[in-house]
Amino acid sequence: MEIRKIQFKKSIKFLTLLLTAMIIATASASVYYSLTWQPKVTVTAIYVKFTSGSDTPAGSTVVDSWARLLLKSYPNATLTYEEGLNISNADTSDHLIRLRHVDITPAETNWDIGNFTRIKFYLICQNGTQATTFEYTTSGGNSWNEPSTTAYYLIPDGEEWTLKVETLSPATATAGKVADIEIALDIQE
Amino acid sequence: MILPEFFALLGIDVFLMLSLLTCLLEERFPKAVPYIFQIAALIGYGHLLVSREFLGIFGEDMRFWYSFFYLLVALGNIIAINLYLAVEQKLWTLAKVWSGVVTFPIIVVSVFFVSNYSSLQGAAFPTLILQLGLVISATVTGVSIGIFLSPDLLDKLRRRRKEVSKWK
Repeated sequence: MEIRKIQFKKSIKFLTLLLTAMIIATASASVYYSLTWQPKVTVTAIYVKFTSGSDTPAGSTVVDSWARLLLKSYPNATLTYEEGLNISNADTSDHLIRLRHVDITPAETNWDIGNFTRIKFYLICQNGTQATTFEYTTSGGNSWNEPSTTAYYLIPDGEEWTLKVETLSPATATAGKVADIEIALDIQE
Repeated sequence: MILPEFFALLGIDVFLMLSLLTCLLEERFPKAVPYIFQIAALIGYGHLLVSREFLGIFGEDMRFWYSFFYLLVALGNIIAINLYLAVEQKLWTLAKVWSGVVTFPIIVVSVFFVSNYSSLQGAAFPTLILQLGLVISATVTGVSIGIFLSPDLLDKLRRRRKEVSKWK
């Protein structure tokens, strides 16, 4: 009888300790789990950035991380912006960059597309060699031929590359028609 | 990726395990011991909470060292119990079982995670000591498992040694 009493007492004590141990272990594990989901994000200066070129059109907006160019296109005459926009690597290490099409308006099947023949971007290295081109053309008067994403190109630290732009409209183009193009500049860390 | 607080978590679990084991072996320990270990685990929990609240202030190194210190205290307690059983209580068999089942396996696990963390995070830690600790602990644990699975293994070895010395 006495032994049974002792055993019972020991069991109760053990079960109580087990219960509290489980509570502590679970609570601690949940605190640790919440720690693993606390990412730290630090704002840092942008290292590959847009800068104005000598031919950046007046009224354009160029800030470090984005640029809006107000380009013109003449009917039946090619207009070239030799230094439309610059891409500058202000970092102390090299980076890979590429151009990627995002969006263009007027949308497909809109006959306003016929007011443009081509809008071509050239990515020019600091030494003047051409890295790649990125060209929008039209077909059938209501369809864009969008360029595919370029390969990655290595822009060395401290270098400034240029985006040369060429525009051309057909002789029959109507003045005032606008094409909005959105292009992403992808930068690898 | 292991966070430095993982060592505090490991320390908490070690304390909780000690609490339960000392409760099971209560005849050999003072009555308050299991509760003291539970309080130590609770302190570890508070430790984790503080670490979470001041995550931005404490650097990675500081977080590692105070978590590691807590784990070290927990490991110290395991070894202290081992010594208590062997020296104070003179329970040699129990002390041997404790070292094979508790002390060395937990040291293996701890050393493994610490070496893993230090190699990934580049913490200033003598890796040679860690590797040595890992090898020694793993060997002892392996031998203990061998003896546990085949209790007459030691006798067989002794007999074989005697036979070899006879032939010589």
